[in-house]
Amino acid sequence: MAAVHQTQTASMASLSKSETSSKPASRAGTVFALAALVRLVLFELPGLADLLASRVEISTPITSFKRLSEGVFLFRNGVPPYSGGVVHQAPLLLGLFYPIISIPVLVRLLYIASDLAIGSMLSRMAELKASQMSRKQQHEKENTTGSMAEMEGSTWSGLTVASLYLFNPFTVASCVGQSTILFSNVAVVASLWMGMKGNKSIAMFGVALAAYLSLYPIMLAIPVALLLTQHIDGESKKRAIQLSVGFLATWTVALLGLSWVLVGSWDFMSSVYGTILSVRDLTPNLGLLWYFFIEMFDHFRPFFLVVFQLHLFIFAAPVSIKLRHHPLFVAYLLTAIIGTLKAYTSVGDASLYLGLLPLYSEVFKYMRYSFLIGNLFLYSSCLAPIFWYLWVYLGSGNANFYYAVGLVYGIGEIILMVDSTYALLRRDFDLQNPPTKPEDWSREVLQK
Amino acid sequence: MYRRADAVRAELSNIGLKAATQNYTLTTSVDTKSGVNTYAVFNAPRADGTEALVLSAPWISKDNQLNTNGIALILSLAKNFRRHSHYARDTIFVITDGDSEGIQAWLRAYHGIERTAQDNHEESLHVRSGAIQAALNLDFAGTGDYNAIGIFFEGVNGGLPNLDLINTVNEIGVHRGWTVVLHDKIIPATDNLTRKYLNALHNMLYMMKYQASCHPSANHGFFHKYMIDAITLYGVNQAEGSYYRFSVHQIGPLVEQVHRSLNNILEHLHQSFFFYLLSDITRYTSIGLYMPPVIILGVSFILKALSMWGVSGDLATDMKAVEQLAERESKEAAGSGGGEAAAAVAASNNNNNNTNNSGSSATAFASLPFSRRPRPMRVAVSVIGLSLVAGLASFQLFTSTFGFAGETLLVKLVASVGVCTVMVFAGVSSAMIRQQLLLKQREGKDKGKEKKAKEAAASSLSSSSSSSSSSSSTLPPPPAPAPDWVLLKTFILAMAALEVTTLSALNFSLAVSIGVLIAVPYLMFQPTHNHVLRILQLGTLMAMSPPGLVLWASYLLEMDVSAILHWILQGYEVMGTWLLPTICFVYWPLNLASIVMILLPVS
Repeated sequence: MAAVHQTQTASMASLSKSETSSKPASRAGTVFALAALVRLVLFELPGLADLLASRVEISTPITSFKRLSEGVFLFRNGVPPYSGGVVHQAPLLLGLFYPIISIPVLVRLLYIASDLAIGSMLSRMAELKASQMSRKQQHEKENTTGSMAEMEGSTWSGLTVASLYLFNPFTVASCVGQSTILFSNVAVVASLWMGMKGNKSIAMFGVALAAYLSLYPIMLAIPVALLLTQHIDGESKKRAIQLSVGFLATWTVALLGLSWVLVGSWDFMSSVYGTILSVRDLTPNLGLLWYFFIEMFDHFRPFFLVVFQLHLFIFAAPVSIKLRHHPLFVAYLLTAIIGTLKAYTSVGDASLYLGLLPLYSEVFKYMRYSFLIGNLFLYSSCLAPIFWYLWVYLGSGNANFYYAVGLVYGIGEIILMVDSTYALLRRDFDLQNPPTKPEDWSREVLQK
Repeated sequence: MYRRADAVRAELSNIGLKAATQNYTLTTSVDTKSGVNTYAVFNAPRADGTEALVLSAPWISKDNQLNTNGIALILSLAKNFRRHSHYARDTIFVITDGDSEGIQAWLRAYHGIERTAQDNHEESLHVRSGAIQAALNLDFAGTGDYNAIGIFFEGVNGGLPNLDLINTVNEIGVHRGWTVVLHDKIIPATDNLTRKYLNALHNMLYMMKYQASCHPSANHGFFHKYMIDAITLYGVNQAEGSYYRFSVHQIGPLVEQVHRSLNNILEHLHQSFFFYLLSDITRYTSIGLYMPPVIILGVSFILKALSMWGVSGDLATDMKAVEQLAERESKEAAGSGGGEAAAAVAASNNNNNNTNNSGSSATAFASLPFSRRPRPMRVAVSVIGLSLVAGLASFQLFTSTFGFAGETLLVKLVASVGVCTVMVFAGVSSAMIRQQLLLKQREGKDKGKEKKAKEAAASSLSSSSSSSSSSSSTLPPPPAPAPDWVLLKTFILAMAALEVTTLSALNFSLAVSIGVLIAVPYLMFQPTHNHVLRILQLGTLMAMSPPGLVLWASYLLEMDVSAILHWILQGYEVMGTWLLPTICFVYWPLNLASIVMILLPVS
């Protein structure tokens, strides 16, 4: 995929620069309308939405729409929703669906609108990033010889980025399967967008909301803070960080307090975050942990639980330090790490980081394993339903089969992360050390 | 039909079992089938009825005779079971109507997923028992004697029962002095090694034929869908050869003992003997042995795809040109060192270019093309997409009824071939048009380049130390994008690998057949300038396409084309086999894409 657009982008970019001002609005309208139409049609196909909603790759215990409906039903009938072991979604989500859950059309429209919102925010982020980059290049051109600026390949347009998100099969399946991970994704993308625009309060609200919905995005506070402070230095930077942390704490407390007001007890804390952290529900999924904890003796459980959860969080530090000049890439990498290593992973998580990756389309030409990664994703998405069928319906396979697919998927995700990080670092290296001597041209560069 | 079902029901009731009948109607796009099943439950005296075994017999045997002995066996076994008290699992006796619709209707109703539409309905069951653990289907045609017991075990879509079930029957049969064989052919024992090997090969291919066709070899095959191990015991009646003959009275004890063995096991058969190939009743090839060949087949596609992907992007770096450029520049540097004044003039002339020498090489670097040539994937992606759409369209054509006069399967085949031809035409022509446009663009560019080069040459003639603008004109031209067919072939091979390997997990034999069929052509074929070769390749691909294969089959099996189509469609609509979907969604699109690939321009 990476190399596809190499030629096209150049021409497209020039096209969009010259004659865009009138056309893109209508073109964007077409793309978004088409995306909405595809989802509407898929929602209407008999049985498809139910089928997708029941797939373990799409609905996990913490994002399943069925469990959410159960929670809303219990809530509506005055039964404390979190006292049983079924509902693991945040109270405000129950509150959001409380008025509309009995009207399927509204629920579907909400899902479609959220997906389109992510698409539109991604496209704006791409445009914002492009303009920031060209400003930076202008700046560098004035100061230095200018070779760096010319080396810069043009990036993909916002619309391309948006349509790559909107027509990603993972995104569509996750949306039609009504996985509630979508709302967490909206919050994440909104916080990144606002971070780019420098709006501390809303950006931190996005982080707080995403963390409130699915806990792990709390790590994204770091890249968002980096985004907010990337153009300021010294004392004001310190102040900005303090302010952001303050906002984050305030918003988190506010959201939790509001939840308490809504359900009237703190039960939800253990039911929502306890389940995420202690991996109590071992329904199989594409993740890497369920099988471990099924096989494990009970007295090892706490130790490995701590190790696995720490393992996930620990990446925040090295990634943010090494790539601090690319806060958006840090955000992409952290969402990918969350999507790979969290206990209840689903294709909805993949749709988020696969949506963020095209923002860095300039690194694609440095990627070495794009074909392999594409194949790994393809194989795991084909094999997962087949092995599930062999295991659960025919009984001739077993849990190992399905877990093997999870491993293949995990390998695909990890190679993607490693390769894209390599590509970014390699590009940085070439930018900082442009090959000036003829010997340099023979070094393993993709760009002669 | 109703009378015979009712008579058997009355007989089973007389024995003292809870017996009932079940009506069903099944409508397909071709015709409507209806019938009556009879069934009875024997409640085991020692159990709570949570688990059950099934003994079933169809009215019509595999070889289209009445299954007289089979049904007689059911009745006499029912009578026999009543007299004993050692049974720990209920036994359900089922006598099914029709070809395969009866057993399916009964299984559906038993598992509570009966349909209630007017034209597609199964009556709910009145008598039930617990979860079915295993099933034996009895197929003993006629009233005569038999030479041997044959075991049929292949289920729908290549599903297999647990191997222990087959082993149990064999152990008991051999113990009682019976000949137990696979399928319906007695192969005389021999000491000749080659002969032995060929016999084993024959058995294995026979089994793989059933698996690859996705059709079950007998009625037991539908139990596998519900996670029930089941086989068919078949009375082999081979006229030639002087084999010992057994009467139906001797079969009774054998079935009773197999049934008792199943009754005695503590839990559902679950050891990992679900993936095997049988070359003999006592020999099996396990998954560990038979998977490597198909994996190697898949890997051959993957490796070729990877290498083609590499080829599509890599352009042998023209190091010579780079070196020449470097030399030239160093000379220039020396020259400008000698005549500084001239260099200064040149520099001032080219104000907008970079002034110093390091700057000029940096510019050269910046404007140098990628060592990767671009991979325009539009054609490849759209051809693959179009061919999938064409596959989907033909599937819809086959499975829906339009109701116009003269609507036959043959017409539908022709129509879908038409759809596919249109798709191929669209793919090829759009690729051609794109190619022409690209060529024109490049020509235009080249002309511009030549002009520039001429000017540069003129300027270098006029002044000995040329400006840096001439160095940019000595650059190699930007690499031509990879030809469309390379990328298309990469995609086809990647998809072939994906399909063969994933299919092999579901239905090994089908995957192997497809893999072996497509391996050589898909790996070797590519567009050439040689017209004869191109037509030859095209012909081979057409012969390999589903319509071609149907024609081949009708020629080799001396069957009517529409009969073959009917067989495939009935398999899909009645039995739920995946042969038709596999052909339409997996096999055909690849074939179409390959045909397009052959027709694309070479470069």
